[in-house]
Amino acid sequence: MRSRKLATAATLIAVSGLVAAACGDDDSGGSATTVATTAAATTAATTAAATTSAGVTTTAGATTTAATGGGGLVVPDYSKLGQDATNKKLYKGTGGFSIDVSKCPSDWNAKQGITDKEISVFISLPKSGPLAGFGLIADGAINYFNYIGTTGGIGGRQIKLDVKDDVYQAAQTKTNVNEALQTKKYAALLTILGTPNNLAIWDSTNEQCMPQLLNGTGGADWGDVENHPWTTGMQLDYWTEGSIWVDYLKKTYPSGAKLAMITFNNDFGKQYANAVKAGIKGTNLTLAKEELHEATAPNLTNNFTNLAATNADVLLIQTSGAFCTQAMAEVEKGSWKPKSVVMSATCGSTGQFFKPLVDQGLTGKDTIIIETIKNPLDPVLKDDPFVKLWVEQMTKGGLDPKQSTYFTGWVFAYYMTEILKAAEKMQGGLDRGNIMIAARSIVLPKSPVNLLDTGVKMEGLKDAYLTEFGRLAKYTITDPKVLGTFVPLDEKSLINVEGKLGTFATVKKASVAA
Amino acid sequence: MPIQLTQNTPKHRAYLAVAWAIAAIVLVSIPALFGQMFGLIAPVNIDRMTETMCYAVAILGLNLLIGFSGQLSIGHSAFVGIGMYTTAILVADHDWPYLLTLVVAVPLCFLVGVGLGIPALRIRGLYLAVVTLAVGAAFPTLVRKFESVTGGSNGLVTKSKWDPPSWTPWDRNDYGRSAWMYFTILAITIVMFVLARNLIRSRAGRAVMAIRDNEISASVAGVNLPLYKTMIFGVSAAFASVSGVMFAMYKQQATDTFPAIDLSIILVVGLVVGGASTISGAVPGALLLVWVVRTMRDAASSGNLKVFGVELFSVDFLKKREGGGQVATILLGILLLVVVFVLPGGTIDGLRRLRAKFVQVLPNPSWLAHRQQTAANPASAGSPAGSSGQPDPVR
Repeated sequence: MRSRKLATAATLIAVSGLVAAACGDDDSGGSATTVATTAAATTAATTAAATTSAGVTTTAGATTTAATGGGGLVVPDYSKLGQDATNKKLYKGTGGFSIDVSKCPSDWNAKQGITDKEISVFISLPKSGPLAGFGLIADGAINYFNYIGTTGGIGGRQIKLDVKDDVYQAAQTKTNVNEALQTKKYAALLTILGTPNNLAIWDSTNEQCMPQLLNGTGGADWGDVENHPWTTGMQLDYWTEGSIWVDYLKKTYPSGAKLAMITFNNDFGKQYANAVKAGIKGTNLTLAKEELHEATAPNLTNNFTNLAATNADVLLIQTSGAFCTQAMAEVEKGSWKPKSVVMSATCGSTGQFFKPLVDQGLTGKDTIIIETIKNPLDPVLKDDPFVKLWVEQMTKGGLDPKQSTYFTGWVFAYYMTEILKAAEKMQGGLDRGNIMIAARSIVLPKSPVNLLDTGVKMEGLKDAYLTEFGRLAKYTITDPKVLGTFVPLDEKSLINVEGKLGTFATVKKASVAA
Repeated sequence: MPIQLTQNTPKHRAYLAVAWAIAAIVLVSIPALFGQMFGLIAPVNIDRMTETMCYAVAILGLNLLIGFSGQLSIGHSAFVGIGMYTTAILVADHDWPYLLTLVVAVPLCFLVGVGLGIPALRIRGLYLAVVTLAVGAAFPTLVRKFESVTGGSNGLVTKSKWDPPSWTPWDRNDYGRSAWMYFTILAITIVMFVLARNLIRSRAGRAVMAIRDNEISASVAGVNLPLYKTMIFGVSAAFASVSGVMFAMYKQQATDTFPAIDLSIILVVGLVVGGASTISGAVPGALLLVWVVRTMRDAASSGNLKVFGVELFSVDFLKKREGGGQVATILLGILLLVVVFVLPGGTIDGLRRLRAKFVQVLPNPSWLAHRQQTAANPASAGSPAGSSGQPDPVR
């Protein structure tokens, strides 16, 4: 009898413990973890946030300039960069950046993946699972590379992009990339998607001297040129973006406001969340509640029930994939109507995230976002030459020109092409060493993929971030049954912090000093 | 007319010896087969075979629980995860050698498994499944909650490489590392399969199967139900933890998204498709999970269905379709349905039926041979100690 009672008690304790663990309050636990995080990468990112936040808050106010497109950027003479004439193992770029390939594995081949006819590049991203929509980036990129092929390619070479599905699982990304490294047939990796996914592979790629270019994530980590010279990012980093939000909210709500957040529970979501938490310190903006959701969450209904209870003035959506649409739908269907809804740029594709809302009879109107690249579905841009070219090539390639995620693929492919073109002009010609030098030295005074053709630059050890500008815009509709567009909050200006962010190391150092 | 072989005869033993020799030659020569003879992209396919073995051990452990003891678990991803994280933490943060982490991971998972076996004494079927589901669902959440130890959503990367020692014939390059990893994982896998086989053929194994077939009868026959039910939970969890250690060695990382709840379900699919209640069923189950799923995912990504680099036909429609990669998951579901209807005993049962068309093995257990000998010559055949002409009663 006694043993039966003991067994019953043990069963109850075990089950309650498991249920508590499974359904535990992510909010409190998550917040605590976020603040106290000690994981190396996250710590590094956290430190970056504080400084970036400070830097950007200043520059966001001070450097709001009329976009000139050119931005005073000077293209370096690529023919003087690249492989050293006397030491073939040494490659030199701008900003004091150099790579010594004698430290690479003994079987490292500068011409791997590069023939007279072809340049082979590899990409791993989700083609299945909740974030499968991002798989279209690869198809968009292939479409652009095909187009470049028809215009003569890179010195007559076609760019071939091999794609593998990683379901947005870092473990699968690592397997895919390991396989790609082992095949020894790729010149570079392009746009591996996801912060944890890139963190899982960057030690391997750097050890093997494999260019890991234009990561499909805005983590500040990708500016770590000193420790990971073979890895670069492309997007506006999440910290800067979160800091710009705070700047905007401080101006919009001078007498204070309550904030609520829905955050993707990984390093990507936390970088936004931490930037906002750091930014609102000492202001009259307060965080009422943060809800974390997992990559595997079926929906966000429970999270929004909790957030609605706060009746906060502002909702910050810092997520990705199908969760962007779900979050906007929850706002629109629910009784809680925050005065402002600000959403991460990762949710900026109208075709991918807003179109499903229209299909549900919803709109997503008045959602605020930071734009950096052109939205090809924006009627204002219908006569833009690059957008027209995109529509033409989409149609030619049998892809849907109403799906703006393909354009994101074009953006990454455009930068990759420009890097390859620059590498080809360098001393020693097109090889993997020069590709890496080009990726860290590229300067484009006008970039047709960006809003107002805003220019971008990288400068070795001085500037390791490519996109350093953005524009706040509000999603506006004229007809609920038709897809709307983002209308800039301030028509004529960009927030441009080009060259101000430096590298991850300088950001970290300044943070410690602060 | 199939060849008929009587069990425990010289011919049967020769047949088994040849079959095992062929299996051993194939297993040992896989790195060479994939790497050199056919000139296929070498380490990639070796690595996939290594990954297959990691899955096979996890399925084997799950089979001990579901197939042999009849207790349903859909939370085994947690045990794989515990094994994986134990290794990753000890290797990454405390510089332990990979194999030594088995000493911690296995007892730890055994104890957690026994702990989970306690509710199994009171509940069964779907209710037990729900409890184990909670364990599987809780694990990634716990990983994220204890971020300072586990690395949270960024995971833990073990920078220690599995380099082949100098006495092996391999260099410290991709091929050498893959081959050395393959043989290490193969050795662990063989040990685990032998252990599982011995367990099932032992008194404890027969007790567990008796519980599965009829708890009341087993209890009446003297089987200690609480002991064996919790024990098999612990053993199954220990097998899963070994699989986790193997995964950590192979992937050299641990993340919250890999041993998530979907792994539990995938393992059950592998088990059913491979063949429940069979030791060898874990092999086709694991082959399916790794090779079919990966081939389909690769096909949906590239637009071409390729097997070992040979292009079979175009599936461009999948490539152009948003979420086309989901076809791998859909295919798993279809395979599960097909197997349940067409091959209820799983792939291994199908293979056995196929084999029976060529070779039939007639049962001739030692106790039966002894009885026949006694009947033919009662005076000369003495009764062996402890034998009454029947198998040992199960306790």
